Amino acid sequence: MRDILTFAELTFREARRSKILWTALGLGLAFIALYSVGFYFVYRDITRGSRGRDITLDAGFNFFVMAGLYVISFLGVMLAVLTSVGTISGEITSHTIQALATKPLRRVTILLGKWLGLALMLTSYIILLSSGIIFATWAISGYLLPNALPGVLLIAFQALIMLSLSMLGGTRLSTVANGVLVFMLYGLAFVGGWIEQFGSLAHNETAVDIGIISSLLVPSEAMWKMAANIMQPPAMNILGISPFSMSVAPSMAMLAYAFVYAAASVGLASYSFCHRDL
Amino acid sequence: MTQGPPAIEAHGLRKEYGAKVAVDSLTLTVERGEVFGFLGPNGAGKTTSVKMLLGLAQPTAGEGKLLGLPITDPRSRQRVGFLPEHFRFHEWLRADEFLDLHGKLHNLPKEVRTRRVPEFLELVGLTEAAERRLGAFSKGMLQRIGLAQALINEPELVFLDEPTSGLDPLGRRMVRDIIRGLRERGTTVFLNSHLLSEVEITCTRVAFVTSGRVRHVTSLHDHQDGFVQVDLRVGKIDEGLVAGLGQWSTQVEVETSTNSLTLRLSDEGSLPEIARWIVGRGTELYSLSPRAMSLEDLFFSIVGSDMPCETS
Repeated sequence: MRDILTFAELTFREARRSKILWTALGLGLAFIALYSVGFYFVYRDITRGSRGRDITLDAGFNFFVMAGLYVISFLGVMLAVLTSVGTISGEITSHTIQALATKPLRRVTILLGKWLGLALMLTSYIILLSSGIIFATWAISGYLLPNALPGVLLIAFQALIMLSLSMLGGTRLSTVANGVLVFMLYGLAFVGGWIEQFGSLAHNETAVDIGIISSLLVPSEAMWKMAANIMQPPAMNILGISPFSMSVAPSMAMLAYAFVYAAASVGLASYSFCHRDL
Repeated sequence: MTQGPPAIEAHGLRKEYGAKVAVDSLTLTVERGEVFGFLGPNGAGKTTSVKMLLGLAQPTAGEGKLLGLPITDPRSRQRVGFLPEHFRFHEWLRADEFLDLHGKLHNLPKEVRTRRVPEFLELVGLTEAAERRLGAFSKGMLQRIGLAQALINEPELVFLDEPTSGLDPLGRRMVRDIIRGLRERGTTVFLNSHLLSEVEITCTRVAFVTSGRVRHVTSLHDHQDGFVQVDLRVGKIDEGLVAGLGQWSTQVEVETSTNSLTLRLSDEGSLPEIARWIVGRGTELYSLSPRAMSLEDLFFSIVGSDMPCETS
């Protein structure tokens, strides 16, 4: 465990030194500031002359927060892939892995340490950004997003799924090949998710099945859909009045599947990394 | 010298990459306290052999032990150091942080690392560069810090894969001095090098490897007694002479234009007998000059002359 923490800390230090951490934090804060200013002016306009909060206004506020969270969800996935895509393959190609893997430790500790370090950074980042816009919305309008904590955790889990998949690919593929593969898989899940959404609205079972199959292939988008479903009032989901409204939400079985999927990805990555030549 | 099981034991270690055999069958024993040279042409399987011993590459067959523990057990590397041939390290780490990290991965307590990091930086002449990032290091400096990394746990066995390839003459001397110091402390050194002169100066024993097999192992203290090259000049060379000399030397080189022959003998004891035999068969003997073989002579006679190697 000590070695895992050492590699987790090393991964964190690398992100800090290579300025990824500060750049991401700086731009993240800029994003919150931009959102807050934009939301403030929109709020001022739409509440002018109104006689206090009502369900329509709340639906509008909800749309704004969900739009912000959607961007964060996308950024989380991008960061998960970009930070992890070369963390194993890059070290193998550059031979930096040789001095590390010949230490008296099990190879799996290197992989798990890197995963843990990246997972903690990503989760913290997503929670920070999400809290920022949820809080800003509340501070300006008094609107508090329902089920904010489980929703944000689902968004973070979506990033962790892609992180695990990217770590798995990195144990066998080159950095570029792994990047292409993981982004393509994400794209597949993304498109599949929307096909399922439209299929559900149009009552087309084939389209729904395509969505479910793509979710089984990569359950990342399904996590966003679960998050979006619980963070919007039920009426919005039923009426489908927002692009983020979820007429059908993935079941708890899909959540369990996603956990198994992520754990299996990390497990396979460990096996693959431990059984290859460096 | 530390007592215990041999530093390195390898029995039939084999590595295949698809149809290509990188190491055919490595069988080798390196005793504690030896400075062991591992010589061979490019592509002979030297680095792959080291990788198998250190757990970086999985053998297709065979088994090995480091300091008595199977190479499949990570604990076999607890008292082992390694300077890789490609000395690339995390460029964003400072030199002192880099050594501290590697000490930590060897499970050295904080107080030991705090003491050893400056000691080893000084050993490799990098005290002034302690707070500089490795990204700003020259090739030679990286090799030096890599060497310090290999020694930070005060290992009982060190693998040095081409440790002077990036160094200037001063750096090479520093490495030689460090190896000498290790030898005096009883540390076993496994040196993989192309530089025959370097191996000749630093090693106590060498193995010659070709096509992933150890062809010959010899002690450098007594290899000059063990191998003698004899230059002969005679009146006339005939088939009977060459065939007859074959009973003493497996290798007889003939230069008919100058009536010269070169033999390789395992020792000098048979020289008078050879002289008597030549004269006895009626061949005129003008000269018989034994000379000790240099490591380079030995290398070429075992490995062949079709390989690039530096002899500086």
